[in-house]
Order: sequence, then C-alpha cells, then structure tokens
Amino acid sequence: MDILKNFDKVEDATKITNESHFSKDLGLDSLDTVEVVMAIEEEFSIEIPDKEADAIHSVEKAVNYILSQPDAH
Amino acid sequence: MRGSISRLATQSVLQNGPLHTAPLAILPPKPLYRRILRAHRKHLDSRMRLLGDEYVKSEFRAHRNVENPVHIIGFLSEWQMYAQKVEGDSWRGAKIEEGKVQKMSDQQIGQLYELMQAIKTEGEPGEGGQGDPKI
Repeated sequence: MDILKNFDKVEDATKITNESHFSKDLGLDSLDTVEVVMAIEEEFSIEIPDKEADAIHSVEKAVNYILSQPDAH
Repeated sequence: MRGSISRLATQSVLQNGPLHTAPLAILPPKPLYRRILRAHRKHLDSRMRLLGDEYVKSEFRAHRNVENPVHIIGFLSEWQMYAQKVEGDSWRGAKIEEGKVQKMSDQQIGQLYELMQAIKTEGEPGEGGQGDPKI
C-alpha cells in the first residue's frame, strides 16, 4: 500500500505513516480528503460508496477499506 | 382573483425555469464534489478532465466559507446541474441561457469572448496559416 504515499500530492510526504490522520497529521481539509479518496478509487479501480468514503479519514482506514475490497487491484 | 393567483404561480415557475430540470433534492457539498470529480473521470478526455478538475477544485475552495444560504443553494444547484450535464454528455453544443448573459457584467462578457477566441485558436494549425481548423 505504499502507493498511497506517492499520490498524496498535497502535503509533506515525509509525514505520511500508516497511522497518519488526513486532517490532524497531514493538514488536509475536507475537500482534500475527498480528492484523496477519489485518487484511491482511481488507483484501485473501485467506487467507494459515500457512506464509506466519509469514514475514510486516515491512512489506516483507507488501507483497511482497500484490503476489504475483493475487486481492488 | 383565482386567475391572478394562477398567473403569479405561472410566473414564478417561469422565473425558476431551470429548476424544473434540477432534481428536487440538493446534494450536500461533499457528495456533490465527489460526483463531479467522478463524472469528469468517466466522461471527459484527459485534457478536458484536467481543466475541469482544476476549475471545480478552485471553485469549491473559493466558496467554502460562504455563509449566505441563498448563495450556497445557488452554488450547489448550479454545480449539480453541471454534473448532470457531464454525466449525460449533453453539454456539447449547449447554449448559455439568455437570462444569464443579460445578468453578466461587461467584464464577464469580455472574459467569455476571450475564452471563445482562445478555443478558436486552439483549433487552428500552429503555422500561421488561415487554413481550416484541424480537428
């Protein structure tokens, strides 16, 4: 899941860890978070329903979500 | 009396013209933002998508602190109609509503004209010819 680190373009990439929280640690606002989730969708060829997309606000949550998707590749 | 009420109702329907094509429910900003970015991803080629994404991102960012509810509703409903158009691929060749042009300032008209010129130039071959636009 290292790919995540590369396409988080908005902020200081050195701060990204598995535990990073998008807004608290990485300084992303709610629009940035939407953009990150959209980039994840594209990268893994999945579409994340709104309810679940709203719950993704950390690297860990994103990774868990992707791992839980059998279609993700 | 009855007649005048129905006339008033008709007038308000006409004034709100574009709304009848809009869905009744206005999406909140985040779902709408997602929907627009997805529509760009699915329906636009890469150059148009880049342009569209940049524009929608800067617009949403520029309006994120707006507090006037009328402005917020206007912003969201216009973008929602835009999303529907992109999703339906129905925006090509669409015209700007007359009312909207009339409400524009001179500066906005100027910008629109510059945009038209830029698009025309884009379609022409680069080597100073006045030849046919290359498509």
